[in-house]
Amino acid sequence: MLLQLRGITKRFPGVIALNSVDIDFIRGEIHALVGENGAGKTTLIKVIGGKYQPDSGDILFKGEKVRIPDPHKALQMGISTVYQEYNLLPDLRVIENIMLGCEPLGKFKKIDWRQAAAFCKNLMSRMGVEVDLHQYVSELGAAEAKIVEILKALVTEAEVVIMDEPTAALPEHDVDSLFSLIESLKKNDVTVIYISHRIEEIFSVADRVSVLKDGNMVGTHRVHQISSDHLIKSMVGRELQDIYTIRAREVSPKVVLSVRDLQDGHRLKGVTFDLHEGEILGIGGMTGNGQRELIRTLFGAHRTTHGEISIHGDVVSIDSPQKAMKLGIGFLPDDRRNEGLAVTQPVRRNISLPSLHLRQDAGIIRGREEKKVVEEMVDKLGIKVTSILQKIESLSGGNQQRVVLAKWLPLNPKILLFHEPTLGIDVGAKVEIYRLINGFAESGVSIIMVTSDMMELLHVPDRILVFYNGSVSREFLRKDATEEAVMFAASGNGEAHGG
Amino acid sequence: MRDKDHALKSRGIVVFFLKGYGVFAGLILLLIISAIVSPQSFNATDLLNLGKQAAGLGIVSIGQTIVILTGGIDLSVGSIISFIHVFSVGTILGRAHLVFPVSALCLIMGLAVGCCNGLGVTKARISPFVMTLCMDLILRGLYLIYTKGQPRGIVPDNLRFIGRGRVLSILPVAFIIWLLLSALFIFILRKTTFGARIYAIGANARTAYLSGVKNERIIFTIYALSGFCASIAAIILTGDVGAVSLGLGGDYALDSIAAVVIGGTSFVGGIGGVEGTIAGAFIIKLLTALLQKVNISHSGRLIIQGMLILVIVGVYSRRSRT
Amino acid sequence: MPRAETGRHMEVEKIYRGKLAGFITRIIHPERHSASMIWMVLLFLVIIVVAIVPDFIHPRNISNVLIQMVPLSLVSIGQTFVILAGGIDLSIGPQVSLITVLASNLMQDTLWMICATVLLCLLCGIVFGFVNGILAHYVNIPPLIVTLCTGFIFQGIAFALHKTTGGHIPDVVHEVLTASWWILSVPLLIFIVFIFIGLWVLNRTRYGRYVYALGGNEEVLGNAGVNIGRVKIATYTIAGFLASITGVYLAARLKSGGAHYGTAFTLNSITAVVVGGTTLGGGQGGLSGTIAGGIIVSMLNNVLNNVSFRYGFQSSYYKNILTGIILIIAMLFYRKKR
Repeated sequence: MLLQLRGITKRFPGVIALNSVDIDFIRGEIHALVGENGAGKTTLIKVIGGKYQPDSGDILFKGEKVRIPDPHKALQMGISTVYQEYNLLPDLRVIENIMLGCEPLGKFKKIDWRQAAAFCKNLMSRMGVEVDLHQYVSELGAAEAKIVEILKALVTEAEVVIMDEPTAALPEHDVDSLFSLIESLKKNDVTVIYISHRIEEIFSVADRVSVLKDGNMVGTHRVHQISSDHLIKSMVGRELQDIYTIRAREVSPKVVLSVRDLQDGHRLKGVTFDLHEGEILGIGGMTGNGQRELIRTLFGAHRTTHGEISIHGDVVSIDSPQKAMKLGIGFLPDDRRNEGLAVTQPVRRNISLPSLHLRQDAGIIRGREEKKVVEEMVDKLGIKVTSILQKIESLSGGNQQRVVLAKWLPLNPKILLFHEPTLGIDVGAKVEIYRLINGFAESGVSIIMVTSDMMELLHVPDRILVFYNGSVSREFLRKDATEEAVMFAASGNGEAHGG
Repeated sequence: MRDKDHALKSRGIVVFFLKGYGVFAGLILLLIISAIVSPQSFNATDLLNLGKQAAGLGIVSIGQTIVILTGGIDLSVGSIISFIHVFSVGTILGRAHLVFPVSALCLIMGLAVGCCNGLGVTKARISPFVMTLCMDLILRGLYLIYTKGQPRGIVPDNLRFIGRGRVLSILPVAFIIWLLLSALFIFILRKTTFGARIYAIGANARTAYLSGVKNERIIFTIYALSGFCASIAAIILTGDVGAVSLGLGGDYALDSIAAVVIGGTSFVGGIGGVEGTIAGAFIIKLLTALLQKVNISHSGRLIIQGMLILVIVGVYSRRSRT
Repeated sequence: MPRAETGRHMEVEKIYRGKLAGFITRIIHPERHSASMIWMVLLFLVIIVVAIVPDFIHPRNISNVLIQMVPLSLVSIGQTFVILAGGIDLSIGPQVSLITVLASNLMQDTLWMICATVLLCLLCGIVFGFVNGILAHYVNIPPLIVTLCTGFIFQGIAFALHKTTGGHIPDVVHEVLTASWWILSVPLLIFIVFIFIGLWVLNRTRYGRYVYALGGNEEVLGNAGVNIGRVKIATYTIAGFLASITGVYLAARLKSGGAHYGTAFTLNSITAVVVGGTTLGGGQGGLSGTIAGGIIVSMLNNVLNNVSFRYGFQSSYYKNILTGIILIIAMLFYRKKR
């Protein structure tokens, strides 16, 4: 028993984030934390990591009652946290990032880089990873960067390493190198606390899993003593099947959008596909194989060097978002807060922005009409707000995504582009979003959704395109797609066995 | 939801006013202090006179408000005023019939300078701070080259009327022009698509772009507008001063930023408006007048203005946290 | 603290190729800051200038040029620290002015008074910088506005204390601080000392690394357990300290103090820093580039003076335009690089 939390309660204005939580962590175990968004997982690890102070309760570390007043103290005690947000300095080298805050000193307070390099090499070999210490972090890929972050957390000889969704931004193949690093930690007797939304991962890597729900500890189980269905049920009170309601739908043969040999000289290396009316087309594959570039190209937010896009048979050139909008295309970006919404502005402004030109006379906005339209959208999409003057930042993830969707509806889009439609949205709200997406498809809107969520990819779209290396590696109808076949295609094996 | 909306709105208006426009409270406070300090000048005539004196600053600050709303800044307005002032006087040379065409030319010049700023910021992607600073420097140089240290010219009476004249022998023409322009821009910012897009760019430029807003075009336009406002102010100030003067634009860049910021418009963009700036300009001029009455020198004014801005902006930024 | 690995023989990675080349590189250029480009430009400019004005090479003139660039360069060192950490200091000019006024008002002819005044001035510089730092960190206002306002305040105080007579600086102080032999001189020596200290601190110490990190991403640095406030406040304090050194020197050289003596330093130091390749957002750039930038700015001003004298026009008219154009060119140039 390395770390124990007894009766930890943490309140924020208006909400009880943690309600008398009891949990313990054994030395050398990999302990997963699961729960919906808002269940309290991040709050819990922030309490352990020193960022938050509990309102009541005790923390016992190695049997002794302790206080963790700040992250610095936590580091000193041997508790390191690797947060979800990017925590590296891109303009500095790997070695400088790893040693940030504890650079070894030589004569006259000069930094001794030789000693630092030696230390890092040692650490890397112990963990079974290798990164070029000399490289600038800005040049690293997502997986390498995550590994550097973990190395950074290990520099202080941590006994507890907390990871908040370490694989959230990683392509699935790179996840393996991360897992082997975690295994190495276990071998070195380091306790790993691991938050993840990816149930499959937890079953492959964790020893025990604890479930949080609405700030309460629901239970802790040994991983092999519980099924994933049961686990999800205890998180939400819902069976797996209910989340993805498979609707049989006839997709019209009419082609709405057609892409031929799209290239951009970098990530896109010849993408070709068709989109039909009323169809939900899913795009999967490992992140970084051109999916992001493709969907942004379709909205005029990415330049291409070659290839053709046609809408209803006419070749078009989508060189700006305005052009895309004129063609009836709407876009929900993956980074909602920074690209889809203006968080300091009220809901009303956000929703009416793209369609302002429809509600004006010589530049003057028809206020009443605009307000009416906004209220209609709020009703139709079920956005939970006390008033349309409310600021975006006070809304939950699911609600925010609905606002982004509401932006486009007044324009009557024919094509909707979703980039990670349910990123950062809890299971309950996900169901609602899928319902909305299905509704649009049924009314004739064509939808493209790029997603890295395997379950979502397999169950929501009518048809699936798997990307590999900048082009379509394989195409599936929903009924033919299996997780294995998709993974295979995503790794570059086009027509594979076991499909 | 309608009721809640209404309730939020009416409570909101009060809060909105206090929060966003606490500046008006500050203005009233300052007026009270001013009345106490020198009761004899606390009458309609003198207050309207204050309006006339603040008009130049007020007009420049309108343009500055719009620029700061998008997250930018315009440091060139002071030297635009100086340059247009000497240029117009030096060209008119006392001939009243030239006032109209030369003024029109000056407005175009102000617009042109603003366009240069706009180009630098949008096409060359130079940060507004640096771009407008450089423009300011270049204009200062041009000013010196043009005047060779000795500005000359006479201001004809019709121009003086704009700057000093009064309608109905009470209302200063300059004040009226200022208020009208303010009303126009308040309307533009609050009620037009252009205005809504300006706020959108200020709040989050990336989101605005991905929502179909033509960022570059709008940003270019607002710098042009700022230059335009500066040239209007230059004409009015020229009329007010009545004679050629060295460095007329002097502190206007910094003063206009002060007026905008005191008026509640935030540097992060997307928050604030011209309404507050009106009060801000008044406050600056009133403060100057007050300090002069209490016999505090120019140096003292600098100190106090500096401290005042710090305090006020500090308070505003704290409020926006809640 | 990481426990050093003993007993394991690891192959040590050679970070710098070649020991001597490495040594020089380490002293002059920090790892990521390739200032070589701007030094090339400087060399190029020097060649052109010498070609046009052969008298330039004369030891007396070189000595003068070197002396003239000292104040700006000193101030620019401080500005570099501040800008690298993601801030900016617009009050540096008024600070210099204020210090010259203080020095010339207080100094008397006795050794005791001289030392006391100098120390007081340095202390003031530290305090001014410290105040800037506190305001910039603890009050939620952009450093641009904070230092703009403190600049107003310092300028106001300088005006208030300014004596029309210009105050008094003892002859001996003037002699000592302006002594020169051949191309060397006391100011140059002061400059070299501070340059080396600056380079050392910025490139070789932990603090220097933190300055870069602060400009790169404050939060990341904070997460690593470093006290951001201290790093930030220290940069402004350094700037203030260097401003006071410059102020004392300037007062000594001009044998007087004036509320307008330092005005040009604000803009010129920022120009020097930008020309030298440091981005205004911080996190990238370095001191060696700033030095080159400062020399370029000083030199171009010097050339402008010479040329205007020769051809009979007023240099002051063109100085502003020159600075403005230099800034724009620098921004365009570095923008392309990124």
